[in-house]
Amino acid sequence: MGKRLQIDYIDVKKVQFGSKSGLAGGVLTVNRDELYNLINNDLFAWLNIELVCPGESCRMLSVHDIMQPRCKKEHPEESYPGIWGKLAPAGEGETIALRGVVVSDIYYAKCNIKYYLDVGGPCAKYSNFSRHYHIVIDAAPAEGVSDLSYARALKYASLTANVYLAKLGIDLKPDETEVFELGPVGPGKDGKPLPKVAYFVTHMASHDTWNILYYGQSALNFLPIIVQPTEVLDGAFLWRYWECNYYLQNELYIKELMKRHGKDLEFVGVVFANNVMKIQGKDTMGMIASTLCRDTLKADCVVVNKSGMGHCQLDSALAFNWMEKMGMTCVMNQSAVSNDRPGDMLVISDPKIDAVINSGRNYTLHHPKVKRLIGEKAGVPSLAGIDPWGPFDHTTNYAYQGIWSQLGDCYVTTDSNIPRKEEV
Amino acid sequence: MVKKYRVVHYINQFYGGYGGEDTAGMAMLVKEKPVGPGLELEKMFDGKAEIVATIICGDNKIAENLETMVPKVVETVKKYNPDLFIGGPGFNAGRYGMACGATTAAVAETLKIPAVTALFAENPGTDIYKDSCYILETENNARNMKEVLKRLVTFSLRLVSGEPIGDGKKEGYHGSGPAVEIDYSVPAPKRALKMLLAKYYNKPFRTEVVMPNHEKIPTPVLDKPLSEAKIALVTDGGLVPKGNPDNMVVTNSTCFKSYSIKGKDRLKPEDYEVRHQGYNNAYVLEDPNRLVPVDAMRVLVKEGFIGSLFDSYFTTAGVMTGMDKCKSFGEGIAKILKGNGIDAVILTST
Repeated sequence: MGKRLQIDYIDVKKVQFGSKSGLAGGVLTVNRDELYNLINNDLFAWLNIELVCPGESCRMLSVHDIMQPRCKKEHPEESYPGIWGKLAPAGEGETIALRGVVVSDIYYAKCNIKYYLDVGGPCAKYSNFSRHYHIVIDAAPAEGVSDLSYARALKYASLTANVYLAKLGIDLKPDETEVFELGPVGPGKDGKPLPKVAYFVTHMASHDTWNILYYGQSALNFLPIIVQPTEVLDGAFLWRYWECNYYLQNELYIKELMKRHGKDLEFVGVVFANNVMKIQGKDTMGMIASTLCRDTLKADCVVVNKSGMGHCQLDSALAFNWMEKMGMTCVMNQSAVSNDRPGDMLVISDPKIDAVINSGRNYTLHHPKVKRLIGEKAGVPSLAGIDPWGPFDHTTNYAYQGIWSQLGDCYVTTDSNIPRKEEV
Repeated sequence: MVKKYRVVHYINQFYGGYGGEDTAGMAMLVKEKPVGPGLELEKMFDGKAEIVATIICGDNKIAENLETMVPKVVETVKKYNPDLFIGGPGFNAGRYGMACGATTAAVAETLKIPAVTALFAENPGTDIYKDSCYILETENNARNMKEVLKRLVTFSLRLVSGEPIGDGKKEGYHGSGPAVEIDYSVPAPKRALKMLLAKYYNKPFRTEVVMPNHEKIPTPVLDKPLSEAKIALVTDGGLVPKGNPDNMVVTNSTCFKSYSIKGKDRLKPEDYEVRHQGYNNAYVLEDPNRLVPVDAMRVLVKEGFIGSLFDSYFTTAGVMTGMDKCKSFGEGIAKILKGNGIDAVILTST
């Protein structure tokens, strides 16, 4: 039997600043000063806590991370263990999640990939994150603070706010509960054993500010590893680069595989590998991962996925080929590799890769002038020479946050259970 | 009686029997029967399909008026309510190839019916339309017309029957073929597991991403000794002068630029920055010669190992930039290099 994780969702329909923090009747009230004092840090030059409402004429720039407020119900001090909270095995017990509100970090250190997002106006519908209220942590590094120290401080502040908000929901009756547990599996309808399916993802930990934290430990240069699927959903494994951890908290492949477990497949486990730059390293990562899937997890099939960019496409292709060669049936998920115009970015052309899902595509969006900008001085490299207030046209790939995730989310379906607010 | 598939065929004035270059301005007309290569096509269909209409148009008329003429062709095709559209084949004929590509792509995209043409790799119509429709590979002349028609017939019948079509390398078509219709209203994992289980149980499945059949670029041969060759440095690693004077973007590049290295023995770190979001550029910032090796090239010139180094380097950011744009940058850079008598290039990538 695997771990049993229960996530209790509490729907947040409105967020406001007020004199006393609390959550009742779907209305989340945040005492801004109390939160400020709780998360401020000497490493910040300044800190602003902003509230952005869905439908508002607002463009958020340099949005580095977006997370759902969550905490462990019995031991909130053990939330995000090793990364923020006290060390404890994650992915078991009960977790409180606020649905409809997110904590978003604006990033001021150097990073070549910085996303932006319109929460209102005609482009809002192209992002799942425009459905949410955003509690924005807008903090710049103080003079002389290194990028790494700033990145750490920002993540800590953001997670402190995250747990602070989630704790307000601990005693409330959840609007929905999901249970994730891998129980024993019998044969299929035809009396034969169900196909054993492993899930393999290449992530990217290449330097200190493009890193992954697993229970707080830096995953720089990590080798292929087996992780528990519920650990990923429960905040033990976080990216600290430009991808939103919301997509790990709600990892849709893991959730679907767990739901299908015992029905038409047996989900046998998750293998993560790291993206490395040199071809021999890439090939080796693929082979080790393939060995873990076949010989440790006893998989018949593998779903191959990745975070990171073009490099990781190549890693996925090499792993895919190893896995097929070792007798496992594979399908691969890639984002933004369709041949729809204005053009996606397929860097592989290997006919052996014969089963690929394209989970999201590129669009050219027309961004109108907005009334409010968040993170104006944080600088979005892809918007160099463009007035971020608008109007401007831009392609969405690796620029517009929430149109798709690296792992398979798409604005059409992700968070479609959270109703959109009309323009306010 | 088995239903015969209805086919509309597109050909030019020459194959329509209306003359050659002198009648290239001829307006579009329709014959409700097979004409020219269509006669052979219909014979090869062997009763499985009939050509219900042949659209004939002058090469100049259509190639010079694609925007107005292609919709007219599509309108006409629609009138006949066909199961299949065949263009040409156009082999290496430039304007005819454009017409075959444009009409086949437009029919596939707007009428959503099977459509196919056949062209030579270097036909300008191939490059523009190979990712919008099926363009079977041909040689550069019509000598093997019969064999190409046969392949068109076989491929067409597979298309109309709904049989899965493999990638271009396997099936003998250029590029990646028509855009795959993807139903984004079904979450990716559900589509993926459906595909995986079909593959596992040996049932038919259709990939959403067809691996492209890229054209082969022959490697050129240096026609003089290296010691006499004039060499240029080109990079897609985004090295630009400090201050980024031309506002080069770090992804989805919009242009390439060239910057002078005249009189420089090496590139100094304080004079350069990197505009490229796809790699950790700390090592390049520390020493830009690692990306654009001016220092090493100067030594090789001094030693007489190479003839000379071109006075400017060319740069763009090759990250998340579409193939068509990259290609146009490459062609633009090559044109300037050719114009300056450059014999060889060192292209550094990241």
